[in-house]
Amino acid sequence: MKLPISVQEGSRTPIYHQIEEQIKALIVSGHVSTGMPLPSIRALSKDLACSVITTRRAYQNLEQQGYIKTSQGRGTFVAEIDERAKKEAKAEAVYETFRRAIEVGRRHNYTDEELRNLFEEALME
Amino acid sequence: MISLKDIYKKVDKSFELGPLSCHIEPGNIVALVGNNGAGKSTLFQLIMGLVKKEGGEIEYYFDDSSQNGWKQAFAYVPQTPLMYQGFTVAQLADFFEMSYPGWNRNEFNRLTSLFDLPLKKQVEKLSGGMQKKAMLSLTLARESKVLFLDEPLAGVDLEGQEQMKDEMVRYMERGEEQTILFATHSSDEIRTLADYVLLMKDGQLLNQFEKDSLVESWKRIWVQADKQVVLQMNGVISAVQQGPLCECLTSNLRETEKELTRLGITISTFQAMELREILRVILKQETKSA
Repeated sequence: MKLPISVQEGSRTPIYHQIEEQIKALIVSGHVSTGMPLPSIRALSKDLACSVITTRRAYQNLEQQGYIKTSQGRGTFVAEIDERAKKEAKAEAVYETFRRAIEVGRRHNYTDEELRNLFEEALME
Repeated sequence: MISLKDIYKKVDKSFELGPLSCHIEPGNIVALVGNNGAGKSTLFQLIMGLVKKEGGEIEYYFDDSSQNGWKQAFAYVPQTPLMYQGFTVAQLADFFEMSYPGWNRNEFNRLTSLFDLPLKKQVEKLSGGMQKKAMLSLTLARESKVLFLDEPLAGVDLEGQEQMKDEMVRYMERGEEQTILFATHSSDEIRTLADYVLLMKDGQLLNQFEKDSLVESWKRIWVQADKQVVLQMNGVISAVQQGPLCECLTSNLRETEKELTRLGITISTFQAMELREILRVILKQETKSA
């Protein structure tokens, strides 16, 4: 199966980071479960049209943070992560998205108060 | 690793290749891009030792170099199967089996049924795309470390292109040192397959890039600033003014942004540039500076 992730070349976030965050989100939200095999670095590179330098970096970071495991000759798998880590990662993902939204707001010269109002408005939807 | 140092070859009165130098790291797919007649095929043949160089050094290092030596480690699919005219695909399979130790008939059968190849037809009677599929099937059944492909997907139907890309991925996954060098004019092939891009023009190597860093550092941006000011900044390639807004191309987003920030200018909008556009601009630029 292909991973349901996509890369935005127009985004400011580096491509490896986009991949890393999206895979992390798939794991902490339970869309992919422990032990599930992930595509090889080369296959993922082809699917996302990026270089192996980028996908390798994303996988290395995910492995360092304990989200995935690579075993020689067998491939890469979703690692077991505890509930607390999952919660933290979820909160972090949402926080990061808010932070980016705020950045956009500041770029358009919104005040904090105006941003708060917009946020409330969006919540009411 | 393949390392070229000051490789030089005079092909005829009007065309010389090099001197050029570059490194090709194993485990990567490298796209060789350039104008028609840039010398891409000649460079392939020089690296493979099919054509004699007149100057420079080529060194080959492989961790696990087979006893057959590096020439056996090279497999080549030329642009056209000229040298195989008059033979059927099945006859060529026998020929390959005799010529290359370890040629894998099962792998060949898998590929020919995947591509739906007529085995009893003479190669030159196949369509251009079918010829490519036939040559790739014969070649992928060989054991090799480095695969040289000369415009592998040109003329191949859409389904076949996807299949061939998947087979290239599969080839890379045979081992950590597997390497593909392919010459191409298609930005889609570069986008989906390449890790590195070697850019050639008129027998010279212009530059070597990691594909993603190219896409990440080249951007089209819009800023509220004067064109003359922006054009002085690091990385800025060109700028067009429209009212208060200036649209510019930068080859180094980080550097350009640093200077913009210093002047208190913020970037209104970003846009990714297509790879084909980036490569075209680089080719044009290098011509100007040459």
